[in-house]
Amino acid sequence: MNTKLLIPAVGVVVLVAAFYFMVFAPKREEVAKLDADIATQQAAAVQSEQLAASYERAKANYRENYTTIARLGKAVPADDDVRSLIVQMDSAAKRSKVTFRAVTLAGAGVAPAAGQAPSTGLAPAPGAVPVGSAGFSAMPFSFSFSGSFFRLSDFFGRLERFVTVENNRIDVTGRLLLLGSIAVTADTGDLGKLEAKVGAATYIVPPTQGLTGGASPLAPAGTTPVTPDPAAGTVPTTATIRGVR
Amino acid sequence: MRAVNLLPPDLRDTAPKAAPRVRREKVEGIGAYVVLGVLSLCVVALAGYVLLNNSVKQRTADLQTAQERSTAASQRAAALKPYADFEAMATARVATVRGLAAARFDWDQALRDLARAAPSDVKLASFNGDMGLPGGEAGGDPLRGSIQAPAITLTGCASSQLGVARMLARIKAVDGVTRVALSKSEKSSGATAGSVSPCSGNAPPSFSLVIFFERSAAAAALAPAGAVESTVPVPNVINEASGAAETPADGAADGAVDGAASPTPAATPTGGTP
Repeated sequence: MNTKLLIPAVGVVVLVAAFYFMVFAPKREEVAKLDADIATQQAAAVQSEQLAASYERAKANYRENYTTIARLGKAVPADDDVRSLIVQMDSAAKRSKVTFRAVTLAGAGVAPAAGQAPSTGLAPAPGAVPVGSAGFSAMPFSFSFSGSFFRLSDFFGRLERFVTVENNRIDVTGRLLLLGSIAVTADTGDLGKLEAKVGAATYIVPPTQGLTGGASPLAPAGTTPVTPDPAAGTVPTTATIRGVR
Repeated sequence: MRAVNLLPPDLRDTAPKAAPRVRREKVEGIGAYVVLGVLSLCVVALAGYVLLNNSVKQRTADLQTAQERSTAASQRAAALKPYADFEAMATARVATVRGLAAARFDWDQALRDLARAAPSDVKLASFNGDMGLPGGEAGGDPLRGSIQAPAITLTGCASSQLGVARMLARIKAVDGVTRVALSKSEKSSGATAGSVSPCSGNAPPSFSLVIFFERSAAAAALAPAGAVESTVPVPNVINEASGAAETPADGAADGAVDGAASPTPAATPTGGTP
């Protein structure tokens, strides 16, 4: 009797085990794997959505960012733009009642570095000296002015105020000049006045970036510009932008 | 009364027999239960299989949905990435301009302060200020190159040696001045006694001194000593690989300069009391 019962019982157990290991367990593993895949995909989706949300904010700030870049281009331009520099210096000198005598490009004859190869078809500005490893260039100038001590002092302050930084705000009204050296002596040609020789440098953004990195007022490079909605005001105007004026 | 046998004659002689006992059927094995059990197991297994299969189908659908959601979000992010890149460029540009502005030395303020501090009996012949760049000029004074920080080299004359000492003391008190190094202060010799001096007095001494501004933010914002020699100021902000370095905080800049023990220039009477 025991043998008669044992054989079917063993058979049933074997069948159950076979079913579990051959059908049930693989399915369960598949479910577990799918759960893991779903969790991974959901995490990736959440991450991508968060990224897209932050990019949406960047898109919403595009107009502001474009104006910021454009305004900063006045301080650190994409080209030497000596013409505007001379105009600014002459204007500041006249306001300070200082005679603007001479300007000399001190970096003339300096060959551009190998890393400064033109990517946009234009060679680096003549006289630009590559500085640092980020692709910036400097234009070293020597200026000569004549005036009284305090007028020269006022003039130097005026040059500094082309770009002013107050807390989080940057006011840009001209080229950012870094006065590296100042030599003041008695003016041999005009008694009672002083002659100031100033060594100053202006900086140029990397030619690979350009002023706006190929962006237009409507959209950055690599995107399809959206037709501006005049009512929404999507075209940058002369609005005051946070941080940079 | 006589009993009458009512049974038929063929049955009269047979003795009455006990009623045949119904034999109980013997219960043999638990086959039915086994069959039922097996059937139950089959049902359970089938139900489990179906449920698992449905679960797999459901999860496959969920996975597809998640993939579609992720793909859509990725595509949206990829489409908007140029805006983010542009914003990063704007942020970097702002940081660069900030760093460049921080590397400037306030010459206007220094000139005004020195003009106010100089005693009336001192006449300046020349004023040479520079940022102390590694490859920069020494400003004509042998002490100038000893410390790489913004400094002003003054030459002039005073009515007396006491006037020179007073000049040193007053300049040392100027805001931002960390060191005043006198290079020389000598009275005119007999050979040059006849030369015209703007200073009054008997053989007024001429002097040369260097005023250092070691705690200036410009000193910290410019490339540190030992960097590639350059006559062009190279602020740290554009010396960084990204070009978007943080502007050094004032406190950090001060700390950096304070921590660096700068050598005292030889024979430096730093603003002694006259």
